[in-house]
Amino acid sequence: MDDKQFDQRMALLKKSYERMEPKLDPDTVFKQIEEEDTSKELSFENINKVHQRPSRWQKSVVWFVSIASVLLVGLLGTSYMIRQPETYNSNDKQISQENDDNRIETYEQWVERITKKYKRVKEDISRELKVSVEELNTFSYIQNADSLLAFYTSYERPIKEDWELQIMEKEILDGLMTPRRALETIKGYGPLSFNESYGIFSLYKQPLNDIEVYFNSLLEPYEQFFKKKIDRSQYPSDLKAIIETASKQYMELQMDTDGSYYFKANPIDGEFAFEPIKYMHPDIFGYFEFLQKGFLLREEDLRYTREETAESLKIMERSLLFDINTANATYKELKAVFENTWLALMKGTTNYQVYTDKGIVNKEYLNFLQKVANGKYGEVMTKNAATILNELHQYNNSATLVGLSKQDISTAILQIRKDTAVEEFNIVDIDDAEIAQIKKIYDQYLKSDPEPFINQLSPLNMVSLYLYAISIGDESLQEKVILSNVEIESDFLNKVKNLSIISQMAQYNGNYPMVAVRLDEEHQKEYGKQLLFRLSQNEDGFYRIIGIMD
Amino acid sequence: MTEVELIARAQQGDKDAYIELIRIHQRTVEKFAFQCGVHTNDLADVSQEVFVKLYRFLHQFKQDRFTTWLYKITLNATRDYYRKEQRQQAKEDKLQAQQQKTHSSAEEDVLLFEEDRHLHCAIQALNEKYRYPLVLYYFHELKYEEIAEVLNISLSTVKVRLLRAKEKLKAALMQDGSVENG
Repeated sequence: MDDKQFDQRMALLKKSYERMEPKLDPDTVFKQIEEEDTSKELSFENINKVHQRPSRWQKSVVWFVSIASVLLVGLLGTSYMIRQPETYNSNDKQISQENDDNRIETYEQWVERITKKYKRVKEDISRELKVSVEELNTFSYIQNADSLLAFYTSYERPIKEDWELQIMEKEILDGLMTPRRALETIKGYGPLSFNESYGIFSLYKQPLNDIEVYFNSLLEPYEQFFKKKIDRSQYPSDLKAIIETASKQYMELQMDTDGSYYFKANPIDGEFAFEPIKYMHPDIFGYFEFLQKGFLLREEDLRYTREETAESLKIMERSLLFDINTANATYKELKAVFENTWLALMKGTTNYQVYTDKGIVNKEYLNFLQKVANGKYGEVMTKNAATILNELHQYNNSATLVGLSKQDISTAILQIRKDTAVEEFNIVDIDDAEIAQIKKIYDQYLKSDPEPFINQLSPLNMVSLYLYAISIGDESLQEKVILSNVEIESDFLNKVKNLSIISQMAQYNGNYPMVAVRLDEEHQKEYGKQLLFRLSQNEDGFYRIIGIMD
Repeated sequence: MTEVELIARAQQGDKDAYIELIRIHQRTVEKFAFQCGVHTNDLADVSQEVFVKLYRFLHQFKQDRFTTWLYKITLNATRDYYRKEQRQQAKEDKLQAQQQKTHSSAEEDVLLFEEDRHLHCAIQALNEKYRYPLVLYYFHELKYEEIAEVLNISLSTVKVRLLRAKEKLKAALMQDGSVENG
């Protein structure tokens, strides 16, 4: 059995696993939760008070806290990070060097060393931010780091493996960060890959909110003072000191639309920008943009001007199109902001309305739409904008605009993405083995009761079977996998005489399942890179095909 | 509603949001548990343990890759489940009864093809230190680094175990005659 055969066998088994039916009734989860009724015990406050050896349940809580922390800081870092941030002083380096030489540090020795090192780094951070250690301990990211330290230093079974201790140490110290320390890990390196850049972004983001909130709270006593609009050179020395400390974390003093002042970090092009940030991958800056600008909508209207908003969305678009880790919560949050904001821009807001009081389309809106259609604000919305513009010119209204939804914007992102997202997609290469597998499913269908068999198919298998049915002329099956009363029209379908014209299929597991069908190079010229099949539930709750977007 | 929104709502005690989260992820959890050796009859129980644990700690969850977190919890739940003496006994009783029929009658519900059942059984026969990396790599498409994270082992260990797992599995398949040489 050679490697190719082995991989094929594994791939076939994988497809079979995909057909597994869910076993768990989610309602039973809540029954158990209510029975256990342990919510009091599991409060996070309790965990943070634990300094002595944790009890059994506390340990499990801390374990999960640590996982959460690791996910926050270190998990992505495992694959993303390029090196350990320099969070320790020369004494620590010396100790580390000794460790490297000897490699026989016991768990107890490691606990003693890491505890001391952790304390020293924390004191360094306290000096860097000019906050007391007690104040620092109230920051949530520090509390997470404390929990991780407490957990890793209280194993009943001593850890013997040196590499395990190294990983634990890295995770613990990665939790102790400031924005400055995170970005300084870039120094000395050339251009970074996207994944490396994302690792640094995660470290940067982790402490940022706590630190911004803290420094903004320091501005409260100066509220009346700011109202007098005194020149910055005349500020009292204590305020100058606060601004100076904040600037070390790339935070600059800004004025909100209501006249209040606040700190906001802008390491990219702000007053205290960090020059080596240019080495980060250009497609990472969509994430930084969102951190800096925050949500772009406020009370159904735009926080910034229409043009500023669209410029921000253009930057965010690059991250959405490039990042393949689409199951990441940060990606999903950015995508949600992108979709919601574009929807508001297109449909109009209180200050930027589509129509004038006389019911005529606003000239400024048309100009804006033209720029979007021309690609001034990125690729994703060009097609929709062009269609809407055309309809408005012809009829003074647009059915496309009325029907435009977040789903349409999400679909546009999918269509433009250069790579397939790794986590939301279940990707299958359509080769001889896969075609044989589809035929097997079809044979199984012929032997089974049709409706129940089709009901248990995954969206991907359903579309495969549909295309196979077209290729062999089985009209009965074609009808069964399409939602009743729906007619599917596509020039492409007439060409499906053989599945070999398809190079790849991918299932998108969003709120509405979609299956992307990628064509081979020859057919791409005629029908585009891919077609998206949409599915929806029938009245019995089972998925059926409802249309193709080509 | 996005997953971020669902998590946020579930964190605030929205039961429906959490149920929706379960629906999104339960197939991954059950599939992984099944591949780790949990019998189909026990999948619902193990899956329930996973989602109860997840709920307990959901308020700590802020960012990043939900799925990797789930794999870790599922792995622990799978191990814990069979460590519990009573359940182990019950499992043995169940297995004894089932052996009268066929080794994998329950698996037949999941794996329609004889070839797949053979391969599944061969994977189950592997030592867990080889089985887990193999399952995560081939059936969940995790990268080496992610496998290292889920299993809490080093990157080089992942690579070595995967290589050995593959060799052992190939040898087992050749031995039981389910494939022809070549």
